[in-house]
Amino acid sequence: MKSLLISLIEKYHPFNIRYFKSLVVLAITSLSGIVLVLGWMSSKNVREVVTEDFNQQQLLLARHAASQIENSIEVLKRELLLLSLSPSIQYSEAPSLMNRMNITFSSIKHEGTLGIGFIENETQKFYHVRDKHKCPLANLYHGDIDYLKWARLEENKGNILLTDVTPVLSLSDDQSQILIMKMISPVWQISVDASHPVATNKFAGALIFVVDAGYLIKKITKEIRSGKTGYAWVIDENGMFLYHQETSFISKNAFEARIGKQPTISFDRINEIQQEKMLKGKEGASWYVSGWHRGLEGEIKKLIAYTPIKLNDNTKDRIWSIAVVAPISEVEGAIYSIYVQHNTLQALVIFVILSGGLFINFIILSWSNTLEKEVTKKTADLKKSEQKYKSLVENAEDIIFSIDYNGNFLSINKYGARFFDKTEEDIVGHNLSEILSWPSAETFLLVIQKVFETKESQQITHLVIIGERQCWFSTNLRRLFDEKGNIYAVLGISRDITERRKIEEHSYYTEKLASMGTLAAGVAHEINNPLGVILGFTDLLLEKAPPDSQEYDLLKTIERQGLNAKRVVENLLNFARHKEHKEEFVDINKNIETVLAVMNNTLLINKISVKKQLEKNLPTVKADSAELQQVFFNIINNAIHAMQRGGVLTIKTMSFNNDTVEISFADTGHGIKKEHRNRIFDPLFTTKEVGKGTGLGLSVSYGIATKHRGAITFETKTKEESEETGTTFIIAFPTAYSEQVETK
Amino acid sequence: MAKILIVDDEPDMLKLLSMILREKTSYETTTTNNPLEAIELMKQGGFDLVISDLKMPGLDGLEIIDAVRKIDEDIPVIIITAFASLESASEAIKKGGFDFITKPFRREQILFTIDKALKWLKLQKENKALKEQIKKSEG
Repeated sequence: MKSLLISLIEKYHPFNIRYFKSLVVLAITSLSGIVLVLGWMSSKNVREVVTEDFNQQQLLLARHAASQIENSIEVLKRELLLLSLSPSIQYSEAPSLMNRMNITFSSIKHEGTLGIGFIENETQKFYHVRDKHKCPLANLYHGDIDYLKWARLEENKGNILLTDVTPVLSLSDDQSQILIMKMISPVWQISVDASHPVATNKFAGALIFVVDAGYLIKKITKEIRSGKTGYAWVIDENGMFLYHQETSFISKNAFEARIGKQPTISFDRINEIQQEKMLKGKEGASWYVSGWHRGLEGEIKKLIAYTPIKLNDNTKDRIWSIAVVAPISEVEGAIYSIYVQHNTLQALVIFVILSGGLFINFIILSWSNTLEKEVTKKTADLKKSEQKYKSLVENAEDIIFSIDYNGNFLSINKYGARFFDKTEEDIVGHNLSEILSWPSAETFLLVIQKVFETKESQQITHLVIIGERQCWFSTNLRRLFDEKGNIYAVLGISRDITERRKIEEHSYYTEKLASMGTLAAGVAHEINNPLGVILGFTDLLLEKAPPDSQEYDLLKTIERQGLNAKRVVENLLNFARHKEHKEEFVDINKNIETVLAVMNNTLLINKISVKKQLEKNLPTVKADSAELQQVFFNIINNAIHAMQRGGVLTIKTMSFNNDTVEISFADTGHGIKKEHRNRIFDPLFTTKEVGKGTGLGLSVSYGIATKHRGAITFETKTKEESEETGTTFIIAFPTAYSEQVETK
Repeated sequence: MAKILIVDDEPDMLKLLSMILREKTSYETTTTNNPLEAIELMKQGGFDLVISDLKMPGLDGLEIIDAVRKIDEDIPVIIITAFASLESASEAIKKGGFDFITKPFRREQILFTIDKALKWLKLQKENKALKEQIKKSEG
């Protein structure tokens, strides 16, 4: 669970560039989205607020116009009532009746009144004054008699009847249509004057105002400007246009006129507004789609504000409705500038977000580029260092391996694999016991397991058996940790120290020789003294004894053995003596020739032929000639001894790379027995008969070779090992040249 | 007759040497195994030649040479040594030793060296006498 969480975090943590970039893109997109949505909502809001505001203003205009129209009607009503109270009218007193009517007419004819008429009840006589050019009411109409009936009713006393607006043709020359509305007031004889001191309270007739409603409304509404182009229109309670900017609509039904003009457009919305709101005397604001506006045509959205015009009629609800409309483009002007500001701001915000995003992206990109470069560089470095380490490990002259607790190899370097005469595949995955022989694998595994358990590095020197081969290893073992700090393997670095051990053993010999030398010197001194006395007296006695006597023989034996002892001591002393060691540039070949010349006789006697293969122009060696000759002498002497029945002695000299000179003496003798091979350089070790060898020749030679920074080795075959028996001694010396180089 | 002083810490060696000289020559020999006594004997005078071992307790051959030369620089000293190292031998010669012989030696070897030394001494003495004569005749 925990590891799942960690892996998820590792996968999605913000420093994972891929996800971080996606995150930034997402953030920018959503921020921009939010800004756009907010902007859109705010624009919508602004549009609503502005529209609302505009419509409120339109409504104010509408209300104002409505109240003006109401006022105008009210003024006419008052005039009508006032006139009905005039005694001249009530009592039909000609000519004052006409005078009175004229006075009133002249004061109200500018208010859209076309004429004033009075129907006398008893006579049914019709008195009237009028605008002769317009007013069609010259005679009493049949309908007007009906007004008389209405006026006569007691309950209508004091009331004013407003007729429906009716379009009629004007009497003027253009025969234009005018909208006529009549206002009727009952006239009762309730006033008094000089001729009628007491009011009769009789019904006198009906007084009629003929009002050009179209004019009256137009006078008020045509000046209305909503915005720049908005205008007003008015419908009556039947839905007829009383006024419209489009004059052809006037007197037409509002529900039909529009469709008549633009049949392709749906006027449902305005029709509904008219039907449900305006005709029901409601006030409000809304919008609708029209097909035109002033000169423009096409689908135009319009804002509308409407309010009722209430004409107090006692008989029925006579409610007109005025609407002020303007295309939405009126508002758009205002909205536009806000929009511009708004959009600028929005664009700015988005720009900032985008550039912020881009900047972040750029930073990330360059950062990731840098990172990538860094990573590439580090990877290359790592690779290089890995290669370096690998080549270090692979080319190391040590066996480098890792191994687990059970002794299974986890890795091994090439040198190691080669050392075991196997490939890496043959070793990795295999157990120690498959590679090493008993008991070296088991003991080694115990040490490895100890490292696991004790947590301490180990440095051991141990014997390793690989098949038939025996090697000495110096091995360093230390733990390897994984990422979590657990030990998972042991790293081992093994060095084959077999050779070194040999050298160490040799130097041990050398040291032994040196101490032997010191000892020998002391011994020689102690022996030489008595030996001198013995030999001296023997010599004296020999002179006195007759040569053929037994005493003489015995004394000779004493002398011989004494001389043997003397030779042993001499050799010992040679071995030990701190003779002056004088090194000079020496020609090895010449020294060999010298020794051979001395030994020529001996070689001949022993039937030994000498084959010389001496390299010409052999590099010189810095050495003490006498000592070298002693070495050659000793080795040739041994060879002669080994070839008791004659044989061939091959002497070769050769140089390598101008830095080593090698001299080999190969005999065809019986070879050195296995059990003797380890001991031939030991001082006092000899296989020769008693008295014939001192056992010092080879150890002295070894000492000399070592002193000259050289080495003596040998190869030997006995008859058990080969048909061709014999021993080859090889002596190697550094050349004078190589030593000069070294000292330099 | 020449008088020879032999110094060696080994009495047997002294015996051998004196026996050889007695039998083969007519020289008069005096032996001692005490180097210090040898110096005393030398001081009493009368010796023509000193044969001394090199390694001895108390006083070694080289010191004997020094002492003899102080007493009479003409008297030759032959060093016999069992420790036949070139170094010690050459040092003996440097100090004024006449010659050196290594043990074990052959009888002829020692006799020959003694003869040589005595002849040298004789020549030395003659040489000195002649020089004095010349000095006198010149004087």
